[in-house]
Amino acid sequence: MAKVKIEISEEIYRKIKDIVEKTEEFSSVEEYVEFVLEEVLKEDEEEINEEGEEKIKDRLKDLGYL
Amino acid sequence: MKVLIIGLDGATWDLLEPWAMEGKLPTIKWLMDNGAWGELESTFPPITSPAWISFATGKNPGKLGIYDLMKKIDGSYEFTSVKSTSYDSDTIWDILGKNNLTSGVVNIPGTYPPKPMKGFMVTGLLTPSTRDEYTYPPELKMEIDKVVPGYEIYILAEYLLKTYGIEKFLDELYKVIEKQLKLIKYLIRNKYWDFFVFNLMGGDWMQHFLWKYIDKTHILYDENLGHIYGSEILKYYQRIDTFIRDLLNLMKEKNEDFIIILMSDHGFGKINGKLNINDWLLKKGYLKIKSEQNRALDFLLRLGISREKVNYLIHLLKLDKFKTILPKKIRKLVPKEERYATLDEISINWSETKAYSFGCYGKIYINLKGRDPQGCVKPEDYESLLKDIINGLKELRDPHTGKKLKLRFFRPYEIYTGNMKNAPDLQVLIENGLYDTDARIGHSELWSVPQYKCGEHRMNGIFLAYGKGIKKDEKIKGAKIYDIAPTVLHIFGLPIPKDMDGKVLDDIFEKDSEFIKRKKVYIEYGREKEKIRTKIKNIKMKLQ
Repeated sequence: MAKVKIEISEEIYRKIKDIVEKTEEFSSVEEYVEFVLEEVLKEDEEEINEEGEEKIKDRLKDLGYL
Repeated sequence: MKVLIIGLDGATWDLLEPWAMEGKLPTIKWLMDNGAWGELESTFPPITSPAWISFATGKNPGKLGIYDLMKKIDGSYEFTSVKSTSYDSDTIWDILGKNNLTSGVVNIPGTYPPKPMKGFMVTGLLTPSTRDEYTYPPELKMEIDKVVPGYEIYILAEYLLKTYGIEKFLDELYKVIEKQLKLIKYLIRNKYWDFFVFNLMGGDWMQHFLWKYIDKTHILYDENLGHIYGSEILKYYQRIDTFIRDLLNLMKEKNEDFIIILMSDHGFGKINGKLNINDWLLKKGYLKIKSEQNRALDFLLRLGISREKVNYLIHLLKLDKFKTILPKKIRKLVPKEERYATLDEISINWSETKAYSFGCYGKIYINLKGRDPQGCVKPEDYESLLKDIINGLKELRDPHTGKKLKLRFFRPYEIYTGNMKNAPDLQVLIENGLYDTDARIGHSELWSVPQYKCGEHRMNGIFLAYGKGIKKDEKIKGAKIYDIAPTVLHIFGLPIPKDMDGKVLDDIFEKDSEFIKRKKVYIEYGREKEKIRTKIKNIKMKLQ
């Protein structure tokens, strides 16, 4: 996936770097920032595209799974 | 080191072992002789979504909040398909990626929409269609279009059988499977990867619908039809056996140490019928529906309009994306051919409904006051209501023999750990899976005899490991689907998150192998992410 550069303050960068080094959950500061932003932007399940949901349900019914 | 996991959805040793011993599956027999193998216990319930996601995360359904193909939406009576965003847990490939290892993930249920990862992904069951973004990176979709034009994830199994018969079902199944095999081989050969996992659903489709032709004890067994179609499931596994042989040769060509794991998400067996559980709840007065809905359904049925007919016509004309132009309410009014309706198609009188079922394996949800939007069961009545339902179900008799049924009831805390969010309040296993439940409403009888879907899932799937450091001709016992994730991490020399429920399958490793000598390291993992998620949820709630 294509990436773009964003600048953040050194202070925040250092704080995140500390967390990243203490835990095994993130391999870089970038990954931490991306995770936080993804969580902020994540849609609630109720808001998920209705058309896609209908397609899945129809498929499952035609498969005999629902 | 490379690890290749071959997923054969629904494969069972009950079929594969005798066929292998008779020399009908030579590659699988060779792997059994040269590897460690045994049964692999599935999740409860043994359903594709919770089982594969438990495989991927090493965690039980209670920690994931996944108990079926559909997931209950918080604070509602609605269910939505399980997605990659439905569970807050890293997968094997997420953890490998953080350790700079590259993964290929193909056709694993519950991985749609694809998330960024180190490697590549083609999503599996529960993807809307291949017209949607079903790959990571997104450009992979264009590559697939060139390499395997017309790549598909699904067949409309039951519809094809009902409408066109078994020949068309088999024809479509092989068209889809052959394309999947071609893509898998292409990706294994041409992409860089350290860990590769794929799943083939053909066995699950075959066994659901053709079990009655191979099992002489099945209530629907017919000798003539058995003679004609009784070898179709074997033929499918023989095709897969040849494919595994090709993969084995491909791995040997790579001149690198490797381990191959063959596994299934659950086993399989015959089914004698289904308890129409919502109809039972309706009859007992636990479930209430609004009466005008029934009249509307009857009217459309008399006109001969069925949703299945309309849907398949739309699919054949490749007009799926235009289907939703019709308002949802109108689409929902078109009934299913068999006159049954799923819970979301019926107007339920929620304020008077005490209990309802959704999904299979007798998942019963209590409409609890304070928890559910229109909950009418007081917390102090919760236990006695469950007891009444259990006692009522215990009175049911086998519809074929009239004998008392062996029922096992499961409360969430008896089978899961974790926060058990949205877990069904009760699940029922009837005669060890010989009977399932059907949550659709509108059956005239309490029990349905299987017509098309004559085979169902069982708890015992398959496991087989072969390769460097793996014991030869070793039968193992007690492996669980949660064990694979920690075992793979250990093979790569990585620490194992403490919140994984599985254990490293030490029994499969040779005594002097590096995997036995290497110390297992367990780490706290996931707490930081959980902390972030909680903080963000709290901020979002304050903003609402």
